[in-house]
Amino acid sequence: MNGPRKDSYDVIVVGGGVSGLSAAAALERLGVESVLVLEREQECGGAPRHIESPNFGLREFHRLMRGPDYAAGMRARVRSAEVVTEFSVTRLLPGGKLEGAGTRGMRALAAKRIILASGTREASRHNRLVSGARPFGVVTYGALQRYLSFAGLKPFRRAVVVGTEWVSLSTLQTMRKHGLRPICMIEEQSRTIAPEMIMRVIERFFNAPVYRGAHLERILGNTKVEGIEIEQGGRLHVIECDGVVFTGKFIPEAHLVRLGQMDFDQGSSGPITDQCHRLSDPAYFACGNVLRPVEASWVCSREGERVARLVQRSLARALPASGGFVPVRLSDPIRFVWPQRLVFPYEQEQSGLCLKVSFRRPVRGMLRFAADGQEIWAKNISAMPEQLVKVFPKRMPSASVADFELRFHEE
Amino acid sequence: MSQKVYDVAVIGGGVVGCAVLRAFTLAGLKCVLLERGADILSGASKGNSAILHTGFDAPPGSLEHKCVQEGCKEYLEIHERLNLPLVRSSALVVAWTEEQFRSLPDIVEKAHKNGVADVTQIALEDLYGRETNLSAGAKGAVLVPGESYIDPWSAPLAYAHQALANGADIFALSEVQRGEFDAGHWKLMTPGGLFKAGVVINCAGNFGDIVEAINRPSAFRITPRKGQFLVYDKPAADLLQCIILPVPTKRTKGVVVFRTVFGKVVVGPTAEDQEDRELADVTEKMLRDLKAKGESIIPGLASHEIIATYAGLRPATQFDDYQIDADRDRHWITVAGIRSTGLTASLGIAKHVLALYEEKLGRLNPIDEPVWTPVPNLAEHRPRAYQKPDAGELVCLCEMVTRKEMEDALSSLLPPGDMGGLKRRTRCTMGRCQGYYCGHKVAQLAQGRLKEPSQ
Ligand SMILES: Cc1cc2nc3c(=O)[nH]c(=O)nc-3n(C[C@H](O)[C@H](O)[C@H](O)COP(=O)(O)OP(=O)(O)OC[C@H]3O[C@@H](n4cnc5c(N)ncnc54)[C@H](O)[C@@H]3O)c2cc1C
Ligand SMILES: Cc1cc2nc3c(=O)[nH]c(=O)nc-3n(C[C@H](O)[C@H](O)[C@H](O)COP(=O)(O)OP(=O)(O)OC[C@H]3O[C@@H](n4cnc5c(N)ncnc54)[C@H](O)[C@@H]3O)c2cc1C
Repeated sequence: MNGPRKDSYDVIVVGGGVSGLSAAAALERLGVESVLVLEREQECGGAPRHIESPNFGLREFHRLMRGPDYAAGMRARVRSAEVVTEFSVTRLLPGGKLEGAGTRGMRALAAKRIILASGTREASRHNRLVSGARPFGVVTYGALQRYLSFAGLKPFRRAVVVGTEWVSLSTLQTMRKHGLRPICMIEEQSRTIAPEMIMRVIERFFNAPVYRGAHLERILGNTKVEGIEIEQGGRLHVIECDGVVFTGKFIPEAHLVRLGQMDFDQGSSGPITDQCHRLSDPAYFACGNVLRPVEASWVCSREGERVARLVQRSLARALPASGGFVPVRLSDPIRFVWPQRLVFPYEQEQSGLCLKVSFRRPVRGMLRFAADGQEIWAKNISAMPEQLVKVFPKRMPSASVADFELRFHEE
Repeated sequence: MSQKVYDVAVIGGGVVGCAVLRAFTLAGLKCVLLERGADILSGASKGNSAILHTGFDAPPGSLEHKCVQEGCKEYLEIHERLNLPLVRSSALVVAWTEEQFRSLPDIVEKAHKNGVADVTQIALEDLYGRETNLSAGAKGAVLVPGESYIDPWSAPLAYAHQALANGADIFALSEVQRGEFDAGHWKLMTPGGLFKAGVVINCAGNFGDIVEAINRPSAFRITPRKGQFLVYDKPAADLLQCIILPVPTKRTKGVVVFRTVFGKVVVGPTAEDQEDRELADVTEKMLRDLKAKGESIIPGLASHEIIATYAGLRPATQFDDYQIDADRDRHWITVAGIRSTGLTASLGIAKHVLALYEEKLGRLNPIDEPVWTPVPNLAEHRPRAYQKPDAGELVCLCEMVTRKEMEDALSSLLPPGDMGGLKRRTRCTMGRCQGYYCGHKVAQLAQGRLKEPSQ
């Protein structure tokens, strides 16, 4: 693959996945001419490239599609922008400069605006601090998909699935399709993350019981997985298996933000942005799941389009200044809110302002959003840790505000 | 397997065995190394702190002290010719209590006694000037300018490669199970066949006492001492400059916070005695303790991502010092109990063992012009393959490993025997995603080319 044709562009999109391709296609439509998409893999399309389950495309293409077909549809939307694959961005520098490595070594590039759309990865067993040696057969769902669909390899025969998120259900489907047996699912919380009603059907259908309130004590085996030990209600038991699949915990692929010395949110593990998707260095914008864990493809695709409009306006100097932002304050058990800061005026296109909130633990109670101590939104909610709760303030204060606060009152 | 009669058979391909193999080969002897695992470096040398010690805190007058200093000196002399990295970071021994503070002068005195003359106690402003992210509340510190860190795998691999290039043989999956000493020669029985050698050198690490019993009842007993570690992703590296050591206790050097040549930050090790000689597992509780410990030293770590965890087993005996000894009558040299400084000391140990051999067992005939075998650089601060115009395809996108590097490793003089070996030679899958992006590619590339497929 040849490297980028030029050294400088109006807009560079880092990551040619769902949100990056959507942004590039939208920039084309908006008439921004000099656009470069940088993708580190051999093909654009992002995570859906290896997700077989047919839950994609309903909003964008008006039909249910498998991930690879959806990725192909996304690629086809980009017509005139320059797309360079096999190019890994390694550093973001102040003011819209970046460095990266292609097949012919290092390149330095510059752009008036850079859109970070590097997506998300899954938390490994190491990140989760799981006990055990390093036997073969421990994977995440995405890695399993890649083993199966890209390499035609099976890392195990009978595995335990850790997690009960929606993707955990896709994991069961994938395993079944490839003749791998899911033995059971384990969930740390006392109820499943995907709705219990569905989980009960799933348990029966796959003949794979869910252990709720179960802690993965350790992975057994030194060179190959021999089983796992779980603790449930104070009792330990061993489940024999030759594989473990970790699912449902995502980490934004956002180390570039930190290496680039831009403001970073420990709660979301993504960049801190304002509602215009702008990072602390206003030459940078971000969209898609690099922002936070985790939204479905159609949301990311829409974010890409929105960022394209915002970037176009930013190039025309038609965005509110980024300097005078007000952070949204939070307190436990709120893990993060996105966007983390707001700039004036608040108008965020037609759709209005929407904040997304994530909690550290399962919660039930009243979530309140206040400006200068005045409540402007409140709702009774119930949420699990990996879910995003939407806050839609109907009327934002017209004058500028010195303080925003999100507060949760447990039931 | 081999009809050859070797001058020397080295049992065990840890860093010590590799350094010994190199030294004896360069001394003109025909040598073989027999390794139990599918690849060398599958024992204690698999997981350590990668610090090149000055020996400032070693027991004065000990054999360990002598070997550490000799080993460190030789590493400094040869590392460039083998293309091995060295980061001269310095270390700080930080006192957090009044009691620890009162012991700092002793640490300085001991260092001076050990010949490490540049060790000094420094003022608090100096400490916080060097380490701006260090937790408040330090009482004082000792600066050890000479402490450095290196690549813990490329170094022994380079020693093994140089031995191979100068005529040595290495056999994996060759656990020495029995041996017979007869008419001045050893016959060693392994699943890979029978090997004959004039002299045997036991470098079997955590199996040192078991292998020792092939010759005579072991005078020491190995109790593996596990050390667990946490690895933080690259952005955390800005949080510190030096190797941050605690004031040591009698039992261990304590939990260290340090950077690696691969650009990461590591917190560890723990010190846990165990019976199992092979199971280097991590445990959630200890990992959580390490996390808290690391954050108590560098609070900024709390906001950084933990990308990996690992553990290593120190071959500890009931004695403090190394167990090195030559049995003149039965042509057997013991090199055991190389507990927690073997990466540094290995070259010095090899020199010491060579002198023992010459004194008690035979003559040396050093090779005039030995072949030097530079190894591929994997350290972040030096040029990497992916940065070059002929980089080609990248396989591992976190650690930036090219397909060419992986192919080169798989077809090298000493190809990896298992997946761990491939990782140690290239760093593939050892970054933040732990194989999420490239695990399948690595597995595909390695398929059918490893002695033992494992992760
Ligand atoms: C295992 C897994 C399963 C999922 N399952 C579903 C599902 O079933 N349904 C659903 O709707 N959503 C699913 N998702 C969510 C998925 O993240 C979104 O569907 C969507 O892909 C997000 O778009 P994105 O643009 O943020 O990231 P992606 O589409 O993943 O694109 C990010 C792109 O950036 C590239 N990139 C990253 N870093 C760099 C760099 N430094 N230089 C150059 N390029 C870089 C990546 O290679 C990738 O192509 C899943 C995610 C994962 C990880
Ligand atoms: C947690 C930890 C931190 C450390 N930090 C540092 C540090 O910062 N700096 C430093 O200098 N040192 C450090 N060390 C010490 C260093 O790692 C060890 O001293 C060194 O690895 C010991 O090497 P070895 O060759 O003696 O043993 P090993 O590496 O265990 O090698 C022995 C080999 O012999 C093989 N073997 C066993 N039995 C047989 C048999 N019967 N036949 C054939 N082969 C056999 C084994 O498979 C193994 O490969 C640390 C160690 C640990 C565990």
